[in-house]
Amino acid sequence: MDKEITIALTGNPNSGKTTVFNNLTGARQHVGNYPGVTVEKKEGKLKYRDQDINVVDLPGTYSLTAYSIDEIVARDFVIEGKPDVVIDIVDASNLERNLYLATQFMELGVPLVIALNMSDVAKARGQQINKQRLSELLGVPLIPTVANRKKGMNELIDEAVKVAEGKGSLRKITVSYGKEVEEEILKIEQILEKDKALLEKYPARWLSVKLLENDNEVQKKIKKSPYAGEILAQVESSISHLKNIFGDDLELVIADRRYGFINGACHESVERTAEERLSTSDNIDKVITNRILGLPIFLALMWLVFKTTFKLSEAPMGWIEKTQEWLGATLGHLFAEGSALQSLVVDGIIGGVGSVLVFVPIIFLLFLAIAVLEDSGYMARAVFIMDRLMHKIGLHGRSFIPMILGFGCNVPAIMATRTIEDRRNRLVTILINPLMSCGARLPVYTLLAGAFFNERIAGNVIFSIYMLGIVLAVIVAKLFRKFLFPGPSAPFVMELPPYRMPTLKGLLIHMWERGVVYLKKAGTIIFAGCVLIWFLSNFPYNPKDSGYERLEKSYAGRIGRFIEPVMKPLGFDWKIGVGLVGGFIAKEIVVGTLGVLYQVGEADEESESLRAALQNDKYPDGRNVYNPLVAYALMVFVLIYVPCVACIAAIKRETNSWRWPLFSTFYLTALAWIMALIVYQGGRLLGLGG
Amino acid sequence: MAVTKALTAGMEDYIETIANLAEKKKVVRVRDIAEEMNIKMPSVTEALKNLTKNGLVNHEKYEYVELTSEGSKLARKVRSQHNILFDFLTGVLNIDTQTAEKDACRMEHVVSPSTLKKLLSFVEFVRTCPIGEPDWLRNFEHYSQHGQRPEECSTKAGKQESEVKTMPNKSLRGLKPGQKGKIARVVGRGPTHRRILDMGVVPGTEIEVERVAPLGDPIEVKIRGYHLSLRKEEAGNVFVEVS
Repeated sequence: MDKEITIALTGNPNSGKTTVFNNLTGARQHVGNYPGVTVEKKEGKLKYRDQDINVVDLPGTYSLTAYSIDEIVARDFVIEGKPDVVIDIVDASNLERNLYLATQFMELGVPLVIALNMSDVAKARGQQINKQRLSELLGVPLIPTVANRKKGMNELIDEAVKVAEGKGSLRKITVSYGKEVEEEILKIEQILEKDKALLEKYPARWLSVKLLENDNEVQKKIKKSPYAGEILAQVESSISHLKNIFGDDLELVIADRRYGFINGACHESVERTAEERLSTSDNIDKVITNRILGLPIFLALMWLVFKTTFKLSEAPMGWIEKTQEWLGATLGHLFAEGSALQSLVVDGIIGGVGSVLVFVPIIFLLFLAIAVLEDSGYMARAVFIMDRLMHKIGLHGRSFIPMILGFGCNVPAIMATRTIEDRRNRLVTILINPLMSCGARLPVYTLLAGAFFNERIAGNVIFSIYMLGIVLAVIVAKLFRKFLFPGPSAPFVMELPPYRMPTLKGLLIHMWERGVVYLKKAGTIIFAGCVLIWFLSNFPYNPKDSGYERLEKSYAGRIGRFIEPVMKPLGFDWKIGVGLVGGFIAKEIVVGTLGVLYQVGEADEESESLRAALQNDKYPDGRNVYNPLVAYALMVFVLIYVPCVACIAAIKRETNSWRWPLFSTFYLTALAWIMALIVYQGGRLLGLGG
Repeated sequence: MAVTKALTAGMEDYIETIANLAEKKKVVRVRDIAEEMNIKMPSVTEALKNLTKNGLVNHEKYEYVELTSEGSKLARKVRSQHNILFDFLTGVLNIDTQTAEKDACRMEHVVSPSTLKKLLSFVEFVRTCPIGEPDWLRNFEHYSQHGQRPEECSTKAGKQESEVKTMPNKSLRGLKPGQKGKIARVVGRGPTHRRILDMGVVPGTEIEVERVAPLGDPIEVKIRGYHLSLRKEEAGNVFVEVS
């Protein structure tokens, strides 16, 4: 046996599928995308008794309808990717609903093995499952497993290989939909028989059932058949015949029969030895999702996650910056002082790599925290608690966590939108995320508020900027939902899985995957962006120039002057323009760039010399460049304009296209300009600023 | 002044057809209209002349047909009348969609605006009824199917019998935490409806309301031994025989 076997893993969300996948493949995993969609494709390899096995982890789904992209991907892979065997991971403690997916794979006629996972939990709940009986009733081999303790993995692979090699011994069974429906299925099947090519790919029975269910994807496939007219005519007459018998809702009839079949099978094979009582999970929920305590607990947890991750990442971020400086100084000596090459290596390359790496600690830590929330089952509760609020602005409860994370850093926040199933909700959440004022914008606010507002109100001024971001996000979300992505809200029919103790291995793998995705996909874009900005602010290069002269004459300086007419109505001069160009790398760079332009040397947001320089800067006619109104307009502009390069890279990565990063660049810059204009000109009309 | 006299039903049909075609295609030709309405081309041309005279349509000979702003206004009005009637026929009287479509087409020309307005608010009233479908409407369905009233609603004269009332079906959204029962009906359409069914919310299943989220929506229910949350809006489509 040399041929590689492909196993597809499938199962409901929370059935322990990922744990099984991790057990089977360990660290030999590869994360990619299914062609054309943003659904993640995870693959891993293993060797079992000299047999090479490729394991594909399909998206976790409850069913195989055409309504959800995850479900389409899963069934297309099973039909078109032709895996040698499908393993359906079934949560034994939640048998009925988990078997619903299994009945659909049975219908697809693929070689199937069921892993009866968490059989220990089921037993503890007083459910005695007669595995052999259930296996016979379903016509599928059944292997008990306890994935989080790695029990039953060898037996599972054993059985899967056996079935893949065609040595399965069980008689295939399909759900019967009752006399009337079966008659119609038969009629449709008979016409489908004519199209031999079609039936080589898809089982006739499955096609017939899907056609009766009004499945769009299958209809599209049928329309390509030379017998399309005949088939669809039969389907139409079958549907209207059945509607006369059962009323309007055939989907309900079919779902009802599937559950009926499962009920029957469970009735004969599952025995309850104890009365069901409240589980620990139920008791935890009495507190955590309590009507009064639920919200405070949620907010406290969010605060904790936020504080600890950002606190903990400060130190490693400092180390990375230190290493970067040290490396720059050491390598800098190798080149002629002041040469373009030196600048390229130190500021361009090392600086660029530094900009990529500096996000790594926070991204790893945040994703560790998210993994804990996900794997423990709390995430679903957070969504449950926050849905009402988010639904008001047309979004989903799941959009809330990315919004909160955005106040720390928009990059991991945008990456965290992955848990939002509905594409439109996800895009809106991504697009409004940069309006959550991230940590990198704070230095700019601190500098300006410190320089132009007295100490008593400086804090309130900064707070008002944060609030403005939130208000704009709400408005923009509503507008986008209405005009850009119209349509009904995504369904909120969500399982609240039992609380579980996360496993360390699961958490680490989770965190590692995200981190690597960031480094690989976003890293290159961030690096390229940094080198570009380095080039713009250093060229044309003249070694004799001081830092100020170079920046002034550079392309960035020219851009600053070029856009001055556009910035003028906002009260900004060309230097601010140059600073804003620099802010494209990361918004705190605006401070550093202004430091160079005002020739105050190394400057940070607390720098008194830079503050003084700003206060004293005058136009040739003697007017002050800055006043509190200009400073406020600038803060508003910095809050909103172009997301930083890392953020753009994250949007590109998460939407899988350049369209949305470009769109967000334009809409945010336009919005920034309009808002700053309103602030500045409005303020002048009110007689502020002078 | 152009549209003072009432248009005949036929003319309104023309307007509607043109509006529908214009949505589907870029341009509308006489031939398209003839095909769609199953009428000979010369008759269409004749009718168009009439409509042009009334200022509802722009149509030069051999050119494309366009509705004037007056015409599109009328088309919108006719269509919304059509939709109200269609909703009433399917949603309240439970008539199948094909028949309802056909009947609505004919009724829309003759119903007076005030009747229409009442029908609209009636449909809305039934749809948004907080306890779901009102009992009498469900009873009516039973009546029209079986020719007699269901037990709990036997004639007023027989009041004494109906004292032994069975609990009527209640919408899931109206249930309080701790209340449970058997699912009687699940209505709806589209992805949400399908997801609800797939999660095992089908008639005959036991369901119990566990709690309401701190902000008042969604709710959490227990079904088939697991916990499911859904918005009240979605729960409104599930009807439970409370035990």
